[in-house]
Amino acid sequence: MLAIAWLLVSVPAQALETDQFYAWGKPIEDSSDLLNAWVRLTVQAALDSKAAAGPMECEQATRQVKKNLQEFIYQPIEMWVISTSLVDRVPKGREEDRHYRKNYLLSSTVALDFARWLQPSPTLQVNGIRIGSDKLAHFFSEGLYYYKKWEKNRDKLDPDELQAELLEYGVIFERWFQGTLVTGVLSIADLEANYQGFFFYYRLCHGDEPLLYQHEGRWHISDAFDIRDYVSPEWDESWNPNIYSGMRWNGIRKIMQTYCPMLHSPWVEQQRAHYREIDTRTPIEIQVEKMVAEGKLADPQDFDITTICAEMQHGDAP
Amino acid sequence: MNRHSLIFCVFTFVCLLLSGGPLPADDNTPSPEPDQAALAREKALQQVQDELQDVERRWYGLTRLRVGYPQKFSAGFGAIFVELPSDTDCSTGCSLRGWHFEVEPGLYGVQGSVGWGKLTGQTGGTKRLMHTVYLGWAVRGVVLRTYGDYRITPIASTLAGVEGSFTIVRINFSAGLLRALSSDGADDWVVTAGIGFGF
Repeated sequence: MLAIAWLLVSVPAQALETDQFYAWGKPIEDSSDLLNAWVRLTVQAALDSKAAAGPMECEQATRQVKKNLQEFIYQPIEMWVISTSLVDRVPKGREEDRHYRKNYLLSSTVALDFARWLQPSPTLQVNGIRIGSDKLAHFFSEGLYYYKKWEKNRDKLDPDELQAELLEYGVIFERWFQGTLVTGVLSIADLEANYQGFFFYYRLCHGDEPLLYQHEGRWHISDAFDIRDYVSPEWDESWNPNIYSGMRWNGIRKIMQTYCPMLHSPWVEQQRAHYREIDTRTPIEIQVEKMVAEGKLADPQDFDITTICAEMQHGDAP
Repeated sequence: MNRHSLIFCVFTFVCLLLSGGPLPADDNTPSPEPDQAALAREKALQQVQDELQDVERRWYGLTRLRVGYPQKFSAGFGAIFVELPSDTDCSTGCSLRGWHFEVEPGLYGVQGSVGWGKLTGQTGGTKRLMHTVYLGWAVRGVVLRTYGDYRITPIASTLAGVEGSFTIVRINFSAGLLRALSSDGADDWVVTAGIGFGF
């Protein structure tokens, strides 16, 4: 029973890890329109189901939508992304997947490493931004948890307090159940995706133009939904560095260093210039900086590829 | 058309052009350049819709190695029958749900089961064998025939009941409640349990 309990707690909703460095320089077709289409069709299928037939408020419709977007551990969108031929990704197919597993950031560990028992997520492209498919799972799964927390506390806390609470909740979740405890990886990019997922669920029924609207007694999703509105360079783990546990870092560092020669390649420089241009300072970044200053989190910049490569160049690497 | 009219027409045309105003031909005809973004959106919607609607029936092989009571060591083989979009490739991962059966011979008994389950796993290069199950659960109707000289209960040799099975990161946990179909009067309810790999 203890074993079951441990596995249930520690195999988190999204313990799947990803590696955007591996996809550097490899062409990937943009999947924004395909993802938008999948979301619209999946949400509409939920709204057209028998369970959603009677008259209902928008919040009730949201609960129907949730049934098709969120499941226990493996999220429908990620399972679709990794099993369809439509979405371009790296790796794609069994042979590429095998190579990826042997070479991705977490591959340099012992065979019994728990994190490696789960398949790593591939990289896809949305609006010119490279993201792991796990981010989409975070978006729809943890975004809903955030939304529920917001629903529960919206009358008790002012907006700033609520935002701080949501962010802290995300860090705790990522730190204990979804990241550090299980895989030794705390992904700030995951937190960004979670937070944007909250806005998606919020916008279903709230805001100037809610995504859900009623027509002839049935609920519909507006075609205004666009995943591009939510995805930012902060979702790319090669741009927004993770925080690694000491044990995990040794292996990660070794593999990350192999990407240093590519850091100044035209492809990577162009990508990073584009990211710099469109990147904004997010509430998650502010929260992380605050926690770093308070000594509650390690500084993610210590794990950034530019830091690692500079150290390597100066001979600081162990 | 006289010369003055011609000059006036050319002047009007140039003025409209410079002011960004519509050319006369634009008044009633649609833009010759379709909205590429809208076309791409529609194409993607159609592609995904076609994919999700084009479903086919498939089966995938299931296996389980288990240590448990009362079979002690057992190896199960079976199949799950599912409906999936025909484009779905399970070699690197997919989610399935459907009816399945399993036959599981063991050291001290053989078990047959039929049930409904849901799993996320991958076939790798095997195409049809779901050899890695990351997460799954199933409820099964079970018939167990014991044999050998395993001298603890059940005394009865044929039992039937229900089993619940749960797999997480390849590790399978199972528990069941079975009742003897033929009993010599002893306690005819048996609780089964096991741990292993597979589904």
